[in-house]
Amino acid sequence: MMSEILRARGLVKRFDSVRAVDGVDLALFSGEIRALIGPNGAGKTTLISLLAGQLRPDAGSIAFASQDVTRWPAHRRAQLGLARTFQIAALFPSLTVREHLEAALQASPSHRPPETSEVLKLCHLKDKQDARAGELSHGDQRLLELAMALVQHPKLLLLDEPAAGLSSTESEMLIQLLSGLRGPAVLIVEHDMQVVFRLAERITVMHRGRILAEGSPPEIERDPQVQEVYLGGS
Amino acid sequence: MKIEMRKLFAFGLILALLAAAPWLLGPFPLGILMKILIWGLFAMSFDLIFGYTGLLSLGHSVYFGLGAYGAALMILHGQPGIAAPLATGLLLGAAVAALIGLLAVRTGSHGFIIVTAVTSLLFYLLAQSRRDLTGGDDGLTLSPLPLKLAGWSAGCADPGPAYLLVLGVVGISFLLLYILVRTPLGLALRCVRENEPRAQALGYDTIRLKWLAFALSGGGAAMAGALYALTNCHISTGLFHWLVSADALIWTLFGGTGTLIGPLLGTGVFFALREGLSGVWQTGYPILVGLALLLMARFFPRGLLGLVSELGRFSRRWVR
Repeated sequence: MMSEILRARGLVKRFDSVRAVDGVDLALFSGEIRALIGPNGAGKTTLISLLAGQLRPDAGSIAFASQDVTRWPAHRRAQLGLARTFQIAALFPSLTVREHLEAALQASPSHRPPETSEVLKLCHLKDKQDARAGELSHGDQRLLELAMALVQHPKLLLLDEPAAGLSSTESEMLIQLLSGLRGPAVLIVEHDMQVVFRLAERITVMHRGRILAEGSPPEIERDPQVQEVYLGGS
Repeated sequence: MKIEMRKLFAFGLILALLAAAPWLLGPFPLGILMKILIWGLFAMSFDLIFGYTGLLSLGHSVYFGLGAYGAALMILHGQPGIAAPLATGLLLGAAVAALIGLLAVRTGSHGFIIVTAVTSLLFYLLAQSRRDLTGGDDGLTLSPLPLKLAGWSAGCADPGPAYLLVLGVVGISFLLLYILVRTPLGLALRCVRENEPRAQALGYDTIRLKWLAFALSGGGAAMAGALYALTNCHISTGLFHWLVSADALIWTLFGGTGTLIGPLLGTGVFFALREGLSGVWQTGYPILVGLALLLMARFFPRGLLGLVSELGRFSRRWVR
């Protein structure tokens, strides 16, 4: 039985006169992989930042792990088991790969035994433990961000375009890695439809700050409104 | 682990050499060495907030000054001796740092510079206005430390056994700082320095971490100030001036930020330079300091320590 891990109700975020997120309702269940798609400027990254706590909503509420976290700062949500990655890899440039994982581990509330070496192997970073993050390739930086999230054993993982700028082999690695995950709910913002259709059980489509459609991949593919937004040019 | 043993050995060797200094050096150079240790502790504490946590404080003179005046006033009006004045200075500086830190760390990196600069101005003016307590520009005169070791006593011109006291306190403080920056807290502080929003997203309460670093760093500066009052026979309100904080910044930048040895080394080099030039070329000191900093910033942004490691790599390549 899947239990609800996150519920957002009526989320609104304005930037000056623009409603970047305009009344979004969203529910995520533990164990599911959900894709969040939509044209550029649809409000996907803003929504992620609202959920993770980098931004505060102008209206609406967020419940995470049965707590109302609407007014919580990012670090408290993280301690409750919410992990995210950023659209542009956000790392600690002069720290080594090993230090990144240590930092992630010691910040996390998880009481599970550390599986750092396993995660390193999964992310193909085992040989690069002593390299500084600033010296890693773009692909490795993205994988390191993901590795930091994974060692924390989050209940919810928010991934903002994790495959952006990855080579096809790296993308393939990412898909393998994510589809092998057991446990956390994953919300993944992604432009690469290959990745989306292979990973996600359900897809949520955003357009101009609102939820346009939600459903299984075939349903979304057939949806005339979605086709209009994507093919009708926006 | 092998490297750690080597470091421990190096630390012991340097400590032993420094402990032998009173028998190797005359009173004048010994006094300079003592000042290097005291101001080196100040610079190391400064680097905890600057190099490790990434916050530029122009207000660390406040905590040095409070440490010095806390200790001096305890000697003059309370209980003289060593332990009580040291503890008073340390606690006063750390407590005020903890209070001011509550405000300073909430202001973002630019605001932090302004708040800390303003606090040093504020405390400087405050100290100036309470001449009855601080002695103003003239300062306070203190008698030498009541410390005797086998007929060897501390004086104003000859530090004598006071040097060993300073070496002991600075040595212990160094070890504590060394351990601190290697604990999980030290790693967390470096995460804050490198990317604060990222650290928050990982679950770090960065405001609390910055506050803690600020209070500890202020405590270290206050300890240095208290040692200064105990050994210098004279202190004045000039200690509160922000230029004193700028000294720590210069020494740290020159020696190597984000390390403990760097600030200590930078302090030593600049004190040696100042003493070497005094009497020979008075106006030369600031000119040379400026020049040295410029060259360092251009060619070795990691400071003297960066230069040393570059040289090491170069010589190894050469040998091969």
